[in-house]
Amino acid sequence: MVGPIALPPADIVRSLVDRLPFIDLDTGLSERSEAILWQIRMPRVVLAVLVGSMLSAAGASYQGVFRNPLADPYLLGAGAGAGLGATIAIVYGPETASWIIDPLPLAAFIGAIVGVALAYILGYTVRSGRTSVTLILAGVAVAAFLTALQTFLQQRESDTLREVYGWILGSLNTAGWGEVLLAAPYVVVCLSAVFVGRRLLDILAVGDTEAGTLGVRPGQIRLIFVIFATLGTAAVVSVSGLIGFVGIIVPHTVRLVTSVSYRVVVPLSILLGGAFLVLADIIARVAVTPAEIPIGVVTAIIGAPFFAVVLRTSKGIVS
Amino acid sequence: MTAVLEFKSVSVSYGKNQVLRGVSIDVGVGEWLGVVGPNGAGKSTLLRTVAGAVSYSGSVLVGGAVIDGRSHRDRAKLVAYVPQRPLYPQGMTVFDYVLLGRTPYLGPLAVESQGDISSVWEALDALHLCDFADRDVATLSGGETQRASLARVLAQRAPIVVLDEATASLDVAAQHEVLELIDRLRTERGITVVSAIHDLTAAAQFCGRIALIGEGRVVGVGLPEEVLMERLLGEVFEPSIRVIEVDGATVIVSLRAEETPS
Repeated sequence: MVGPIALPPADIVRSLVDRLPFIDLDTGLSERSEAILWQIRMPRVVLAVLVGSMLSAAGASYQGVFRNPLADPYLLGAGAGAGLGATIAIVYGPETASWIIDPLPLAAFIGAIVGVALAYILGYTVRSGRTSVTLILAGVAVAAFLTALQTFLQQRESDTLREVYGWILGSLNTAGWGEVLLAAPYVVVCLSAVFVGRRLLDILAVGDTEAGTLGVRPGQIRLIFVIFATLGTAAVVSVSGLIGFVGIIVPHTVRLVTSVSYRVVVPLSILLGGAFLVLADIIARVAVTPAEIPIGVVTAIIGAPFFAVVLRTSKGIVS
Repeated sequence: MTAVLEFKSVSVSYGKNQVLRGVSIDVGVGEWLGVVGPNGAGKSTLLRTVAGAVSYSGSVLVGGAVIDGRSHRDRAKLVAYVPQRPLYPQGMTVFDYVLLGRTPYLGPLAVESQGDISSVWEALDALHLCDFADRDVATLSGGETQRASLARVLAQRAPIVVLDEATASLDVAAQHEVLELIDRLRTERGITVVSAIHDLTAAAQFCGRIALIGEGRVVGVGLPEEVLMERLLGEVFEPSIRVIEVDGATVIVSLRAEETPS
């Protein structure tokens, strides 16, 4: 609806209905407007929903399994790994057109998974015992190391600096149906997994020892949630870059307004996260038309004050 | 006595440090066994072996069957455990906290059934917590949090309840109230209770039998009057312990050494 070229809302609704099977309507939109709607704006909205809901659900999962309110989807090195992978692809990759598969999302996806795998291996080979804290520290170490490598590469190849930096900040402006199709299967599988298992996150809230005596295996639950949260995060990051803040702010807002039980936090984070990122993307597109603000900047600029208000007016529960 | 819970030569080591050395104790059905002993004697570790929260050598039997190596879930159906300092998650409602007791009966992906919900209400009712169901469990008073823990234990419907210092942080009145509640639940429901307890006078009044632990070994097991004797307590704690009778009840105190004039 909103953008440099205005499309009337009624026509958009007609165009949506027209796409339903067995229905043929005169949408009132020109061919060019139809193309803008279906080839440019619609995939972007769908991708924003996928990315926002996945990052929020992943953030909620990480906060649950680590019992840490500061955890976000990039905690264990998914962000740093994806950043390094993307930088390698941009700096050393061939011209995109010469490949069947675009190497950038693939490299980012692999980077994210390698980052988290390294953190897990490091965290689980610590001799003093495997706790969630050693895992977080391992993640911090891995993330710092990968970010250092990424920065080194980025600074050395200064002609690609702008492209790398743009990717790191995150954006949905290259979104097409191809990106949606790339990310959607992972997002659907990972969101479903986190959704059906969400009750287990409540059990971890009483600590590993008690959770164990209640009949579950905390280490296993942690691993399973990290796998799904990471896989989903890697998939959306590979097509959108490192959009920050969504994974922290959305689950916390849900907690502050409704309940700390993950039976509520997970589904509402999925809904609110998608909606939040669609809104942020609209602002990113239209605030300084025809230029675009990086969406990561928007999520923080509108997200931080909003969160501050929620924090001040709520009962003050953050853990 | 029919033993519902048996420890057979249970030993535990943390690294090179042996904390329990071949402990063997039988606990009868519906009995309240009080585990007493100094700090660091191995009381908590002994309780953790039953709950499966620590690895051990030897065997633990429930109802005559060895439960070593059983899954967490199977164990949780037999034994409910409250640690010394339970973690009460900030913001979690009392209802949701008690609902955690239903965990062993729910598959990993299952949603709680109407039966689970009514088990929770029944447990809340038994501990007079129905009005607290929507309260934040982390904001309850000491006695109320203990009742919330006991409600969770009841919702777990396990025949054996293991309590590690259930009343350590409570004032005298609140301590008695909680101990009376535990005793009422034990007699009404035929639950077997094993609890570590520091207050020897309370142990003498509430526990049917006492196990006195010192340096990882059983120093004595038996009726309170058989174990809570000056000689044994003096060996394990300090020589200045006195056991006196007040209105027919046993009171155990430690006397301050007489000051020598300087």
